[in-house]
Parts: sequence; C-alpha cells; structure tokens
Amino acid sequence: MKVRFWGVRGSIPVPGPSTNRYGGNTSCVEVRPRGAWPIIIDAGTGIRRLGKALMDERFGDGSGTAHILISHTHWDHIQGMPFFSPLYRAGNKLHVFARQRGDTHLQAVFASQTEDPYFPVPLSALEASIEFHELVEGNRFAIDKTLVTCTRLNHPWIAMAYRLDCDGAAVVYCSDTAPFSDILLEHEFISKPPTGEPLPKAIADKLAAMRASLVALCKGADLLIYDTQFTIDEYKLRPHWGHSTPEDAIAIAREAGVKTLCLYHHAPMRSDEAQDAILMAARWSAKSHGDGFNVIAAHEGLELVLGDDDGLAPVVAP
Amino acid sequence: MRLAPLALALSACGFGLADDSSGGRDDLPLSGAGPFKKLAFDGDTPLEEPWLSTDPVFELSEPALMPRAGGGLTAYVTREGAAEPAGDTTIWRLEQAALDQLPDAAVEVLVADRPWEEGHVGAPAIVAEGDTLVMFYAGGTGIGRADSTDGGRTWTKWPAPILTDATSPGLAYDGATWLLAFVDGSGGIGLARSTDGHAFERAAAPIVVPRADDPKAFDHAAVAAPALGWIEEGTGRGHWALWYAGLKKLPVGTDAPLYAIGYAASWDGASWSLLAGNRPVTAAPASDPAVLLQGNHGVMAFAAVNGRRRAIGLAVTP
Repeated sequence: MKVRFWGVRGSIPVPGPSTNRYGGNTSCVEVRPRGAWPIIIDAGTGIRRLGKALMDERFGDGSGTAHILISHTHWDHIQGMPFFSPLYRAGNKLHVFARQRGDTHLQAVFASQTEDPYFPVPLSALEASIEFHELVEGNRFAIDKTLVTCTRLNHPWIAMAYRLDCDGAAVVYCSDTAPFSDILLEHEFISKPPTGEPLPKAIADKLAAMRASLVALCKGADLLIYDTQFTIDEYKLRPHWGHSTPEDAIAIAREAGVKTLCLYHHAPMRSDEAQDAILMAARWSAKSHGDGFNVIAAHEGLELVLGDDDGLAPVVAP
Repeated sequence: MRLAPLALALSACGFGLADDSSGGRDDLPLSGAGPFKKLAFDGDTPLEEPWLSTDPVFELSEPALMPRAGGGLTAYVTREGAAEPAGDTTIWRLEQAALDQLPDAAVEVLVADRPWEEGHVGAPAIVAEGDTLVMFYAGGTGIGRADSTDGGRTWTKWPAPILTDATSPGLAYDGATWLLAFVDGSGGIGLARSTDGHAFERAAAPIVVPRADDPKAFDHAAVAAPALGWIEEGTGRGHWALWYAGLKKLPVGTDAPLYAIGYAASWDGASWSLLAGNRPVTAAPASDPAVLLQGNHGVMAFAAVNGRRRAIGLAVTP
C-alpha cells in the first residue's frame, strides 16, 4: 500500500513562508491499497488537493469510489470536505465512516456543516452518492481487501484511531489524543488543566484500559501516525486540549513494536525550523533508549510505500 | 557543511580548558574553536552587520564559505522560494570582496532537477580537490555531489546520490581522506569516510549527540547542521574540526528554536571530543555554521532570523 500525506497540521490551516516545507493544510492522509480504491483518513483542508488529484482518475468521469474514515468531526478534520471535488460529480460513490454520537446521526453532522449561512451548497444537492456509516470502538470491518480496526482515543468528545491492514502491511492513524495519564476527556468542555491531584481509581483504570487498547491496535504496525502537537512544556500548560507529545508517541511505539513512527498533527504555530528541531530531538530520544524504529515527521506530499507494494502499482482501481 | 577547504596554515594549536562534568575534553585542539563574535553594526559601512545576505521574501540558510580569488569570500546559500510548489529550495552564490562590504548580487547555481532530489537542493558543503571544487548538497532524503571547474560558477551533478537516508552534509578533505558529516534518523550527527570522494563508509554510531543528561548544556535538546573542516597547522600536523548547531530547549508556542554553535575536534577523524566547558563558540541565535579560516583569522557564516525571514550573518574570531 501507499500512504500519502495531504494535510499534516492541527487546529487550523496555516499557509505561509514559515510552514512551506511541512505544509499548512489540516489533517488528511490517503491510503492506497495496491490496485484498489483510495481510503482517506480525515477530511481537513488537505483533502481539497487530494480531490483534485482524484479527478484525474476515474472520479473525473463519475465512476470512482472512495472511503473516508473520520477520526472525529472537529473542524480541522472535516473542514475540507465541502471542497472535495469528487462530491460534485454524479456517479461517484463516497462512504464516510465516523464514531457514533449519542445525540446526532453522522449524516446530520455533515449536513450541518454545509447549511446556510455557512456554505452555499447543501449536502442534499451534492451529485455523488454518499453513505454514512457509524462506528463504535472495537469495530472491525473490511473495505475491499483492507481490514479496518478502530479504538477510541482520549480527546474532547472522543476521537477514533484506525488500523488498516492490507498488502502485507499495517498502518495506524492515531489523531487526536492526549496521553492516558493525567486527564480523561469525554463529553464535556474542560476549561482548565487538572489540579494535579491523583486521579480516582476508576478513571485511572479506564485510561489504562484505553491505552492498552491503543497499544494493541498499534501492535507490529509498519507505520504509526501519531498526534504530537505539543512539546512537553506545551503539554504541561494544556493537558486538557487532548494532544500528545513525541515522548508519548515514542512510548506507545516502543510498547507496540512498530517499525516507523510518524510525528503528525503539527501545531499551527510551529515553524518548519521548530518542527525540524522537534524531529531531531524525538529521533535522539528514541535512539538513546535503544528503540529500533524509525522516527519521521509528516509533511505534505510525503509518500510511503509499505508491505508488498512495489511502488509501481496502478493508482487507478479496477 | 559548509566549510571550506582548508589547507590553510594556522600558527597555533591550543588546547581546551579543563574538563567539566557535562562532557568535553581538555586535550582538544582549539584551532577553529573561535570564539566567533557576530559582526557589530557599523553605520559607516554598507553592510548591515551582522547580515551578509538578507531578503524580505526568501528564506536564506545553510551557508557554505570559500575563499574568493582576490580576497574576501564566496558564499553559497540555500534559498527557499515563496512560490508554488511551496518549500522548494535552490542554491545561490554570492561574492563579498571585504567583510564590511555588501556582497555582489546572488546568482542561482544549483536547482533541483533530478527525481531523487524531490524539489529540494540545499545545505551546500564545498571543498577543493586540486582545481576542482566539489560540492555535496542535500536533496530529497539523500546527499548528492556536483563538481565545478570554473571556480563555482557552474556545476555538474553526479547522477546518483552519494549517501542516502541522510541530509545536511558537512564535508572536509585533507588531500587523502574525505569526511562527510550529516544528520540522519539517529537524531545525532553521523559521519562517513572515503578515500575517493564518492564511496563512503558510515561510522556505526553518531559522533555528536544531544547532551540529554545535562539540562544546562547548550545542546541539551537537539543537534543539527554539521560543518566540517580539516585544519592544517604550522607544525605540519592537522586535525579535523566540526561545528554544529546545538539546541538547549525545544521551542514553545511561536518561539523560534534558539540554536547556538558548538565545536568538536578529532586528530584521526574517528574519535571526537567536544569543546570543554559546555560552551558554544557562537552565541544563540545562530544555526547552520560555515567556517572559513584564513591565516590566524576565522570567519563564520550562520543562519538566524532577521525580522521575519532567516538570513545569513557573519561572525569573526578576534
């Protein structure tokens, strides 16, 4: 399979000279199993360019199929959806997957995104056919020949991590999440960091179970894409925002025995030069602990070939 | 890198200060260790000290220095374009007749035109091999080579990278041995050795790594951007010198990483010693060192932010 990054930024798009190299678009990753339709993870602003690229394939004549896995519906993970060109071509088929909410159906969430006065084209007017699939943590399902597994993360209103197994390789997408140590983030707005008091046992146990599930999801993955929006000092100020540090990601990667850890969901204020420094520090942190996995940082345009894909597989699905 | 050729005689070979608990050796050859002091602003000169080259639109970084025929210096710098595709880089050349004079207009000398370069060429490191100038440069995820027989005005690339999975080259040549420093997935500064300038053997372990166990060290968090030199002394022997960017603390929020320049040296190119006293040779903010030693004097070019863009500054030994 091929994995290509179209958006790597968290929170808000930040185009400009200081983010040229890593890119300013928000979260979007394309996974392309060999000879199969694309599986897209998250629909941040990066999906706009992906959509343009797909229109040069069979999506351009209205005979394409794409599956979109949404980690959660916070703005930076869905903002590009209304600008995804294949939606506007009749005949294309889109399948959107995301975690089931208790109060609103997934389709209503996306419909509200394009309601007046926020956008001129309502969801009902889109030309492509769109099916929405709600998930609960622990679901396992197949998309063509790809097996998808998911588990929940520690983020306000909950995000999902996905594992995709295909072509003899596995990639895990883990964004957004706080570490599983200081605070449990679920269905409420938390405005301040925790006081530092020990967590009640029930909450600590729940966090430990969530972490164990995530480690299991990541077990032996060829590529782990992980939310590393914060440095340690930044995390100390905002643990309730629901994001991790490279050190947290390294710890998960170590326990899960992954082959490559990819730093992802870069902070919007992070310059390329600062991101370089964070990458170098993370590499040494892993190396100095004897970890054997590679540490890389996602940037727009980065394409990785995993498993038995020789990199020459046709990008147009049959 | 970015250092220059150095068959330049130096009269002195000093030794470092007493060792301290943070690392560093007291038998370190100090030729090349500066300290380098940034040029102080002088309103009576055309140069806007300490800036050798600065641009309101383009990011300038990763300089290399060579002696200029007739005096002064020739600098090669990485220029990052502001236009699409975002983040592409090229290498530019400029000449400065004297340290207090403005350089001539920069001229583009190397562009990314090979697939493996992925749109990026930068971080030039140049040495002289007889009448030929040899440039190693970073491109994509590897290090390439280009040669010039007209004093650096035009360059002919070698077809394939010299080293893969490495970037930010530093290069030195003593007439028999080539040393190539680089950064790679280890998070430290790696080294490779060659006798012909194209077949390099990588050392098993990095030669400089962050002093992670010393929070006060100027290179506690990360190291990057190596520059190498061969310093031949008046006594007939010589030593290898390494300058590198060290980061004490990862940036928080919108802060830019505050690198300072450190120094290490080696008699044999295999065993390296850090400068004792846990002190940089050029104070922060300064990164991407390049050093030109002429007689008893040393000139260092470095990259730092001037206003909103990175620019190339100069520092000198007393």
